[in-house]
Amino acid sequence: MSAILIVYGTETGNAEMLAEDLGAHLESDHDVTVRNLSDTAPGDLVGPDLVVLVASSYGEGDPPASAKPFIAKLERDAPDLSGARVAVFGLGDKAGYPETFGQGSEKLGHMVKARGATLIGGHGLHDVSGPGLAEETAIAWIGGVIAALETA
Amino acid sequence: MSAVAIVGSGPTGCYLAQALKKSRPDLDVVILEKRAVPYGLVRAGVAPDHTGTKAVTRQFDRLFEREGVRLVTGVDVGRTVSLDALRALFPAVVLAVGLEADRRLAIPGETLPGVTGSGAFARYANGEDGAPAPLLGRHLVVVGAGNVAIDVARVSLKGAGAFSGSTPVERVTIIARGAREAARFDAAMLKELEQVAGARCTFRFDTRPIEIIGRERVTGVRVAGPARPAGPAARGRDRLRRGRDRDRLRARRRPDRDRPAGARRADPPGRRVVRRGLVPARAARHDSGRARGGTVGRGRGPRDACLGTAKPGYDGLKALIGATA
Repeated sequence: MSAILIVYGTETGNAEMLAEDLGAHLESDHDVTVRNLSDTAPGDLVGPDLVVLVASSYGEGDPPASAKPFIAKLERDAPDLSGARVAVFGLGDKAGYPETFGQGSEKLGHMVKARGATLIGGHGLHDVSGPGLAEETAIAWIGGVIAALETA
Repeated sequence: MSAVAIVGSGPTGCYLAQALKKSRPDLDVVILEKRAVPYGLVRAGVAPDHTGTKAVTRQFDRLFEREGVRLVTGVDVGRTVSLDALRALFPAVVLAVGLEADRRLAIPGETLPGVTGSGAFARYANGEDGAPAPLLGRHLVVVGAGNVAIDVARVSLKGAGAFSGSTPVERVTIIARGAREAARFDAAMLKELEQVAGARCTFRFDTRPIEIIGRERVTGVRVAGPARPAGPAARGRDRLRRGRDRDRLRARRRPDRDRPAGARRADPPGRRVVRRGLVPARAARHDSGRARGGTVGRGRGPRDACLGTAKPGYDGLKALIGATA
């Protein structure tokens, strides 16, 4: 039983839906909270056993709209996030945006890492223009993340 | 139990249903749709090759699969059932009927065969039942330079030969009334167009259509704006080139070409025109016995009257929930 905070950055709601799916998947074994990045302070990332950050990608590989207030706080307050363990999962559109595929979530990962957070597991990514469902990709990925967390 | 009827199953109606169910899971929400299939703009307006954007329907599917929202298709409010009858049945009725007709340019010649609204274009390109095939030509002129114009240019150049009864589009000229730096398209959209169109798409900024020319069908467009540069080298300057001009396209303006505006015939025969812009059939608003007026949706203006705007824009939601409590 770990305390897991799932935060999402979204524009059209797809990352939100995925975050809720991950929450539902994890809640039988863990103490899970799901929250929009727009309602999250950078300091909230420190404390839980694991933070799962789910975000889409917009424009030219930029984080989505609801992540913007969080990014502004990160830049303004320059908080110390050492001790935070963050796993990053992105939604992207490889067919539409091959050059910037998944970069929105990748950038968010870099930002929290630059403030001292430890990135756990690999950067998970789902291609919304490809086959399969995002929740299938993400649930397979989170299994590896939890395993990495337990051996860390 | 309180009930809300939402007229229209496009992104506004579905996002509203989603937000209502999140705030008030006990609300009974019914969505009425005129067509046989749901999702309006997402199905018929988002470009057919933007499958990633269309994937938002997976969220909407869940409304009906898991959230207990009911969908009734084939109900044309105002014809099948009157608004008064609906209001007698539901404490709150939301009209989320969206954009139904293409806006007119209000210039002579726009009723000629060969002039197509972008909404009609998108409905056909998306395979909507009963949508007539637009009559296109080798050279397509697109009036307007927002993301929809970029969609039209890209889809028509991608789908050469795919529009029955039309000559395949070989090149596209996008006419924009505003300056380069005022263009409304997103950089990512331009990049995508570039990959499909290369040099086959040309922009003409600061250019205003005055008249669509033709007797039985479109043969040209009369425009006002800077003169077209003479000579092949100069002609290439407005052309969309891979990589090179992309970033400059929005940022740069060339004062040497900003001559006094005057009407001139700019385009030789064989043109087809696609107009952009849609008009709301009826304004989206919430309508209940206790709270009237107010607008639901539409956050950021004409730039993206699409999904990114529809989701966060529910300022009217609290009033609506209050009205149905």
